[in-house]
Amino acid sequence: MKAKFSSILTLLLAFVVQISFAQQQSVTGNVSDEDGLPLPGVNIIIKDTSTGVQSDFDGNYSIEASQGDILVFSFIGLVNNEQTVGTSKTINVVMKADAAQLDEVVVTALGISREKKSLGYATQEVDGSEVSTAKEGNFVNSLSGKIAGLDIKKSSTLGGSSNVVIRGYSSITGNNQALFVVDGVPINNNTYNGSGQEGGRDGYDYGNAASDINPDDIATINVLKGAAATALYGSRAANGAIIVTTKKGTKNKGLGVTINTSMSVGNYDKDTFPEFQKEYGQGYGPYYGAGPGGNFNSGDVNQDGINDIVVPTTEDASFGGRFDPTLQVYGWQSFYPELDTYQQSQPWTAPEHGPEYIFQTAFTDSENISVSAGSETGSTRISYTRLSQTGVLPNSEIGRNSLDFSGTIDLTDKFTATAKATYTKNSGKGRYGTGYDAENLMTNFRQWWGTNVDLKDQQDAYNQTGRNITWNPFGADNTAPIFWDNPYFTRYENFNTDERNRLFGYATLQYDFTDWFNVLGRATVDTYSEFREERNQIGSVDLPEYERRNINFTEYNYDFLMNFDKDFGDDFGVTGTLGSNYRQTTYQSITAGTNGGLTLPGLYTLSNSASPINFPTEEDQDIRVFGVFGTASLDYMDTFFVEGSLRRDTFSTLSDGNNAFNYPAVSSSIIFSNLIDSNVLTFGKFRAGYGEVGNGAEAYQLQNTFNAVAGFSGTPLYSNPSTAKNPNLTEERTNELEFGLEMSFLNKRVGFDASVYKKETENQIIPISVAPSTGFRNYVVNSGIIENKGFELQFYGSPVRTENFEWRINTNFSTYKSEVTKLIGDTQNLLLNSFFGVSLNATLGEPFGVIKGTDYVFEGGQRVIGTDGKFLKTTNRDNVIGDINPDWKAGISNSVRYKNWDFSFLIDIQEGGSVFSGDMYFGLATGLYKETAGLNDLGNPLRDPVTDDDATSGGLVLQGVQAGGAVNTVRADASTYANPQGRYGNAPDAKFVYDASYVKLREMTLSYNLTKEVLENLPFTGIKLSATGRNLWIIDKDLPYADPESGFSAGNVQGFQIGAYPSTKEYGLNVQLQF
Amino acid sequence: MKKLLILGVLIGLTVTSCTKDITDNNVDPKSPASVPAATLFSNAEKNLGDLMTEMSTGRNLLKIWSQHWAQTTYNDESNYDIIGRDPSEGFWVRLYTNVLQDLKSAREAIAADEFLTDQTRANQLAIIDIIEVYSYQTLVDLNGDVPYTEALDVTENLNPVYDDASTIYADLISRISGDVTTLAQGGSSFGSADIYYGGDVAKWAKFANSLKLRLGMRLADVNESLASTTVSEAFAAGVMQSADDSAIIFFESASPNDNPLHDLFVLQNRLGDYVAGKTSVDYLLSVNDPRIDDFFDENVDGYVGGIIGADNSYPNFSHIAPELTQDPTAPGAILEYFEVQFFLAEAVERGFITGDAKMYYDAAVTASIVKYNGTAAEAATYLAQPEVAYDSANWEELIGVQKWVSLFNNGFEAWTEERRLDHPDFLVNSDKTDLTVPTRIFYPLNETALNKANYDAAVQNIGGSDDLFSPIFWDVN
Repeated sequence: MKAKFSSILTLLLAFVVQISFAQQQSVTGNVSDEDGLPLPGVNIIIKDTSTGVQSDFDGNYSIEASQGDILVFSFIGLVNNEQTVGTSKTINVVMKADAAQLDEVVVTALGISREKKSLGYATQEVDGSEVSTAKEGNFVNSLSGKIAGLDIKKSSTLGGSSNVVIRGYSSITGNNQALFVVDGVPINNNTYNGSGQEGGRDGYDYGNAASDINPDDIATINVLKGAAATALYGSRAANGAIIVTTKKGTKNKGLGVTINTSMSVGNYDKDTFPEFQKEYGQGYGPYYGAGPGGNFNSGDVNQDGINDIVVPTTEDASFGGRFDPTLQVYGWQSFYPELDTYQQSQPWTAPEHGPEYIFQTAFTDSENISVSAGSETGSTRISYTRLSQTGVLPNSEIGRNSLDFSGTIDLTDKFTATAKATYTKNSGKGRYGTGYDAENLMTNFRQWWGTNVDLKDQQDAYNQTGRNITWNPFGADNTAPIFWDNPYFTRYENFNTDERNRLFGYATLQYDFTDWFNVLGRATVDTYSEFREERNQIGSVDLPEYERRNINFTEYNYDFLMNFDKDFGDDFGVTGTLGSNYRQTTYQSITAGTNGGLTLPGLYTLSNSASPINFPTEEDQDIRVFGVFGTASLDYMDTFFVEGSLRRDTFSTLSDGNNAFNYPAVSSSIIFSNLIDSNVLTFGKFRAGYGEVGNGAEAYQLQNTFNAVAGFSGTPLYSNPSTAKNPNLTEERTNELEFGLEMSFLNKRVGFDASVYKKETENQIIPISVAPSTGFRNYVVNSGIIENKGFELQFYGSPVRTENFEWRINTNFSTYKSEVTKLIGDTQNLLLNSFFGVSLNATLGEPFGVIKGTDYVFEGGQRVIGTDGKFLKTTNRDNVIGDINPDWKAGISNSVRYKNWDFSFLIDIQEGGSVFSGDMYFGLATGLYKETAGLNDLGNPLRDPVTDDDATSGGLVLQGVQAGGAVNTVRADASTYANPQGRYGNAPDAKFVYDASYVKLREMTLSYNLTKEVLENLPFTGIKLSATGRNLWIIDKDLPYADPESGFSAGNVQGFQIGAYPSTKEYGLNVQLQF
Repeated sequence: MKKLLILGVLIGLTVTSCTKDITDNNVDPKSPASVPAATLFSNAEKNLGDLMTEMSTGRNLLKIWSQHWAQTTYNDESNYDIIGRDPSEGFWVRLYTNVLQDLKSAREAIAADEFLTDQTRANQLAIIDIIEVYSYQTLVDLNGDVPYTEALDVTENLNPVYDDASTIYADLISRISGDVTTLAQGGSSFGSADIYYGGDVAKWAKFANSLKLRLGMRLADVNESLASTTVSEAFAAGVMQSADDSAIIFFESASPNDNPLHDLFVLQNRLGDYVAGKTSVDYLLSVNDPRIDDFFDENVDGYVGGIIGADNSYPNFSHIAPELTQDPTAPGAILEYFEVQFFLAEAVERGFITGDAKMYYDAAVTASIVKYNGTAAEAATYLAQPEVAYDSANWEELIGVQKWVSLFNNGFEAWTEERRLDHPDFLVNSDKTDLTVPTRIFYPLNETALNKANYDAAVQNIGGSDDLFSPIFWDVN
């Protein structure tokens, strides 16, 4: 609006000028850049006047000027060019790139703004539009593939958490998640999911709390990767920081309104869900004695006095009878009197509707309106956003409402007050159950399922009766579920709800003593209360239950900063900050649940407990840290920069006298391009940085306390906890050295930014496993060192750049090598998690996060096969069979602009890393997947018995050798759950560890900005329409039937899949209106 | 400059006030650092009672190895493949961390309690000692050498040495003798906080003597002289006289204090995992045992036991009796009167004491039948059968088999006495393996990683192999 106004003004002035100075001549010419491309929109003003024009689309201009007038050509990002009007009526100008264009300002630790060129450490910034156009519920997922060194693993559940790790895992059992800071307010990003859920046991993934940050309010995101960058956060930034700056009003800018509406639909990705076999039904093998092949039970279901062929409904595997439409059997449909099919037989056939029938189309819609206004003395912005999402499973939805206010006002010309507050209400219902649990339908479908079951029949049965009419009952006379519920009953009756109300924000007062010195006081708060409820209806296979948990989290920070920024002469400058920070973090929770079942169905209250309830679990933590810090940066000639900082933190959670630690950092950079005169090199900088950051203990780790246990016959009980505390704990520390090189060429057409780093985290505070004969299972100690060495590269270039067409490529690449270099005492291994004996470990001399289990037995590099035709496996389980760390990750983003059209897509690549699939481990054993049926190499049914006759023999010849080295020719029986492909057929754990590599088409957007001509007739200043797609295509992967990224939760247990959810392809539309 | 000075002073003040006493905030307001001894003692009793009563593939799986129960589909443990769920680790964690460590804390609390009389203090410590002796005997009977002298000291010793099993046994006998002496003085102990005996010191004394009897009898084949003195001392000092003296945990109706079998079958809904064991069913049928309907459900025609180690479809076999698995208040046994009577019969035969072996044998079988809702008359009929009737010439088999039947609901002791007596000798080989029933449990897998040097030494000391078939030191025949 303003630009238009000023051009009108310019025209008006030009008109006036023309009248007043008739003796002037007309000067014309063309303005271009160094590549000879015309530059439209260049301001051309006669110096010391307000007379001016703009160049047109072809770079041409015409201005009335007198001889001797000086024309000033200016354009953002280019060096101002002055030309004196002489006798010539034509002045053509080539404008050069301005080094000052590189004076990009970024927000660093503690909210201090710095010129990016001066920094001696790596940061990488993305624009807010990157996370608000092709929108994810959790903005951080939109960063995947865009930042070198940032590893984001999104769980595939609705509203689930995202694991955000910068430059590799550095803490063995502590927090590895990046710190989130919004406008200087550290934002809690915990999941509070619980260690059971994170380790693959039952639970729900409630998502991480940083998802409360509203993508529509984000202006920029700056990622601080290393310790040199984050050292000012001292003890809380060992894992890097994601600094979010939100949109604010601008002074002197009048009223602006933006409306942003998005809608998207999502469908499950078929490449990430199993293909089921369609030849055989329920059973573990021919063990039941009745029906064809002994695959069925016998019983008089229809009460006619004659025994019928009965489906073994107790069995949650599919090694049963071969489908035969002429065979009439009695299955679950015949057991329930409410059903029309009661006591009737059904043909034994493959179902029309398999497990995939459960998935529905997911919907997301989001509306945002923001209003900003600015006057001479202040500005404000108010924004409201509503997001609602339904998932691919029935009865699942999450929603978020956020209200954001920010304002700044000049109280005097030296005194400024700024405040911001964001309120969010986040709610969920029917989140997906995770892990090895009856509430996780994926564990049900991928591991334990009857392939004869028609899911639509289950749906109809539930809809008709509202009861748990399951495919998996004990039998005709006891129709209760044995292992699994009706999947629709699970979704509609055993569901969770949750709500989180949160307020975060700050108030700042700043006083400018002089133009080079100010003091700033800031108080920040992040507080939320969360309420989670989980239910199990009467009739479920699990004990009927109601459990509720209240969480209250609050963090206050009080910052006091003195900032100075002074130049001495033309060449020297000093900027710096001295300050203090006091932090108080409190967390309270109370968890209570019913005991021994529920009395009344559908009533979810503690008083509906069948037995008296047990003691609720209460937690109450209060952590305080006081820090003082100082930082100073010197620059010389705008070319040489050196910076140093020191912070000292005092912890409440460590013992007196042993609780204060210093965190130093130094960094330096040289802009060597200033020293070289080159037409090719636009910018070149070398940087080096070193920093130390740390981590105090959690609350209450110093002294043993006792846990209350439910009283026995009126006697109160107390018990020692399983983890012994340690009064001698000290902090853990990360030190990191990094070097970087940034170069750009040809007026920034091509450039790169490369970093190498080495970081070491030592004295890690770990509840190590100890021999139980010590009386405890764990003991908190300082132990262990992890070393990460890595390399990151960002590369960008514009192969084509013309006025109407530009093609730009942004690439980032990162790799690191992790090694556990020390553990306490003689310890060789720390167990992080285990699932059926397959474990995730920190092992001395190995990368952090190796997967261990039984391995193949090898002879001459070949897998050895036993005389039964099945793999031999090691008897020990401490073989390294996988490593969760990827070899490298890369993101390649291509964007193409043609006139008002923008098109971009992002390819996200991970090479290497391992994932153990508990789903394949069981699913192959239970005969669910298509490779467990069909024909064998002889052309006979794989599941037929092994015979000596090639014309009839079933079974499978595994690739490998017999002991002694001869190629294996022994055919293994594959007719039961003890088949050689799965867990019960002696297959080693290593068989189920897959390469987690992927190539994904992560994001695609097509946008159109309405042209000025169209807008002139509309009450808008801008309209942008976008079509977006996310997670559209997994171009390549190794893991069958699942997305290698899928996990349980954010946290240190990665590389395991148990009941993995398929990923969702999302297609969206986005409309942005500005007026 | 003046403003700067004021600022400096302000910052200085803030620094001082903020760092002073900051650590005072690190006291957990929700968990006490000290609690009364009785609360820890009762918790240890409760955990021990749960452990001896339960069926858990990850801990006390011995109802399977005694072949009273069979598994249905997931039958790794019936085929002695226990690497997946590591029950040995389960036993150690329960005994060392949930029983012994709590008892250690209880001892410390008693020491700090100024208000106890000397006799009460001595009695409380003696009773704690009895549970400790029982726990260590269990550990030795499972594994052989175990950490003993250096155990339970996490801050000082992360790698406790393993002590020789027979040395531990000798020390346990010496400890229990001291406890008996203390308890003989009478007085009070834990009162109602004691969930086995309600603080009855006289009953604890009988339990202590009965446990001493058991310790002595375990050594019968390996150290006859120590066995003999231990048994005769215990008998003379007074063992359990009736079922009223049995060490029993009376579970309550509500979780987590319900019978662990109820918890497993009803609350966790895992009843489909187990059916009656064929070995047990076939024997009971062969002798018309009146307890069969108390052990098993009548859900199929007659009684049909699942083949040990085979795939057994749940609907096709007899289920475990609902009275045992679905009653939350079904009691659990620590050490019972009938066991004492079996030991005494054997002690007579071995010449450790004098008396009438048949009387003790008949009393043992009768007590068991009465326990399972039978009558003395039924017991007499049962005992009159030639296969069951006492015969001094065949005491090993008769006592072994009948003891195994009577210990139906106590897998640990049934399996342990079968190992010692080598009867019954018809615990058939598993369906899938040609292995006999294991004679020990290998050490917890994580001991190899966490306490390797001591583990390696222990393996050498028990015969060089940490497997399921090395015998415990007392199992010499």
